[in-house]
Amino acid sequence: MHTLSNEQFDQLAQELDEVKGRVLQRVGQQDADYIRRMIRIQRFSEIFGRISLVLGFLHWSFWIVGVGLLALAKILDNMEIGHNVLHGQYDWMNDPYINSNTFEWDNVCDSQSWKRTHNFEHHTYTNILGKDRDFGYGIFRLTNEYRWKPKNIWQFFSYMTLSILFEWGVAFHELAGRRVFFGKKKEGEKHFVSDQELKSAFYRKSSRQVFKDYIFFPLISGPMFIPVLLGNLTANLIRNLWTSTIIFCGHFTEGVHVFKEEDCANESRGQWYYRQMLGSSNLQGPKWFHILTGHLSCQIEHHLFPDIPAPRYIEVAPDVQRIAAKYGIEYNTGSFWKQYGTVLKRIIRHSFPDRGQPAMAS
Amino acid sequence: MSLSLRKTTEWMSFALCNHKQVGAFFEPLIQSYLPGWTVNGFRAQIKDIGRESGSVVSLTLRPDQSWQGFQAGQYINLTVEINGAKLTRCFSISSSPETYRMTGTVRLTIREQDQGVVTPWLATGLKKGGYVSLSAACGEFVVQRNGVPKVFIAAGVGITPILSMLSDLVDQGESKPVKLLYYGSDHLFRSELSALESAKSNFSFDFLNTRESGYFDRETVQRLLEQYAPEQFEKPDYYICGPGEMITSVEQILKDSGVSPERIHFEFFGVPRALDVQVSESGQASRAVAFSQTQAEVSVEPGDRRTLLEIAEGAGLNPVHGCRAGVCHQCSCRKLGGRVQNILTGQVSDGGAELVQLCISQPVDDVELAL
Ligand code: FES
Repeated sequence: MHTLSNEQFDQLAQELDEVKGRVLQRVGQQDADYIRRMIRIQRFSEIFGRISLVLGFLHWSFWIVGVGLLALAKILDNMEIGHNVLHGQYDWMNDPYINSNTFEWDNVCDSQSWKRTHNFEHHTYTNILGKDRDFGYGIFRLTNEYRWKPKNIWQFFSYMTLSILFEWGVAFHELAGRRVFFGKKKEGEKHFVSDQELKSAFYRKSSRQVFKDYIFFPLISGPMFIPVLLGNLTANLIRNLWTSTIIFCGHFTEGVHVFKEEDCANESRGQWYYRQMLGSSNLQGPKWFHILTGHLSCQIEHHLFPDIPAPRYIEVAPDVQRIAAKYGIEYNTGSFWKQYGTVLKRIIRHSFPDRGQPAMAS
Repeated sequence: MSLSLRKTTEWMSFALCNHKQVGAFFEPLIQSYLPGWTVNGFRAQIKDIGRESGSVVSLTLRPDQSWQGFQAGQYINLTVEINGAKLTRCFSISSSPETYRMTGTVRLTIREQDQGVVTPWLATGLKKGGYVSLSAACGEFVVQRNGVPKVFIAAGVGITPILSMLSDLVDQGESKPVKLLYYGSDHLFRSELSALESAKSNFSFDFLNTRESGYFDRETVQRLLEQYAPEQFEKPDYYICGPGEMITSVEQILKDSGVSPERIHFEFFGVPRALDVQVSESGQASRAVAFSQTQAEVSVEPGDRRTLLEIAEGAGLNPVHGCRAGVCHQCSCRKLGGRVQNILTGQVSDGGAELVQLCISQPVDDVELAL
């Protein structure tokens, strides 16, 4: 993996640190106003979305608008607001709600569990096979570093199922990794949170969400019970498909690299940056598209600087790209459809055994 | 509200909008039309911003209807937004409860700190007509209505709560003698004090210039005390407000002159001093502070007297906080285990789970925090 010399890695780290330092100096009122505006838009769309769903009895188009607004609200809540707030990007605001310790999102996954697996595991060990369980989620074979197994034949269908149920997959992620429900436990693991606490957080959060979307709001809509329930289901589905697609585009496009544990032992800051750049890919698009992706369209910048306010990624991207070019590091970017195409190709290609003997990851 | 009812509403609210209070979900929307509205705490509109002297400003605020008033001598936590960040500091109220009853406003008098982030910003950053957040009035430094004469000793901007107390005594028609001894290099509220003096014959004050008379030397204080509270008077109550070292020395002088401790009331002004207590307890061995949510752990070397807040910040975390002085409780965080020492009181907690204030706690042994 080490194509650069140690001095070059150090220079790389220094240059990227400078980029970060420069942008941090500008972070302030503008960012606070921005996230509050996003929260207001989210509130508006959720409130009017839910009202519009009920008004579906006047004309079916209200129902369609309702689904659209509710899906928009959920996407904004999960991506531009939730994901970024939980990364601590806005903790400096000292706001009681816009804070990574207290924020809870409209998603069946308990936000604190997500913080542990995502912020810590995935962001620290990005794309290290065996350490970052986000790489393929233990379900998919996305590299020939992993030996082909017969179950991989239908991984395209598992992928579609996961996308449809994405929030549940995310909610289950930590429990699955810890083998709370199934499988054999690894010996000698030490955790801050007990299995019991994990389980109860999982039930607590998911039952609340189910109560809200499939019991409470349908019930208070009286005769509109079924349409409202279906509307909520559809909005959740749209959000699931969207978030899953964006996230797959960030890490599983064709050019994204994977790493072996031994390559990353004692890595320097520069090497860590290098791995983050090669382990992510960007999407190009208009401003609204960036917002709906929670600026994960700038996945590379997000992985380099996970805790600067997300809209700033657009600002630093040219610098990052210039630095990447200077050190000859690939900067994987493209339009949504191009990138998504390569994701699908990657999933399908690795459903089949490789020609020749597959290499086995240790 | 019964406990189970409250639990149910909380559960419902959390299920429906991921906030413990439904109002908190709507707050961002409502506040853009009604900036004076809030779910938690109170809002206040800024009525006036004025300068008392070169480095002392007064803010006149009108708190919202639900704010419950104050007793003379109390302070509030004021939260302002500076460049996007909410910062909280506590400030004493210098106006009287009577003024609040008449006009609905309170006045805070604030010395701008040289290196401060908040205080120097207030005069220029706040706009008349704008809004700030504030807490209910708090503090135990209030006048006891016990019908004995009173001697007030203030230094510098420590006059703020005392001015409120004096105005209150005058408003309430206090008949016993009331004296004020005011140390400082520039004296605030000269005209207000003179007005009080001419309104009430039993109130008198004395300005002491610290540049001339020195700073609280024993003789001056004793002489003045004799003059202020001669034998023929009943024994007065003493109220002291000013910087920490001033309070400590005046308190000592009073005690040495035979004043009983329950007659002495005081309030530290500015950042409270960390009591140098039981160094043996905290700070002798190295301890580990673990942060359960971020899975970070730092080891704290012997002799390191940082607070948990500073330790967490040193580890790259950014816990919610306000005053950094043990007042606002914004930094309260769940301690999962380990003992901590409160640097203000010296009290050492037990090892169980509880909420601790990060900004005034030091680890005694290995501590785990839900951060
Ligand atoms: S920060 Fe205010 S009590 Fe700790």
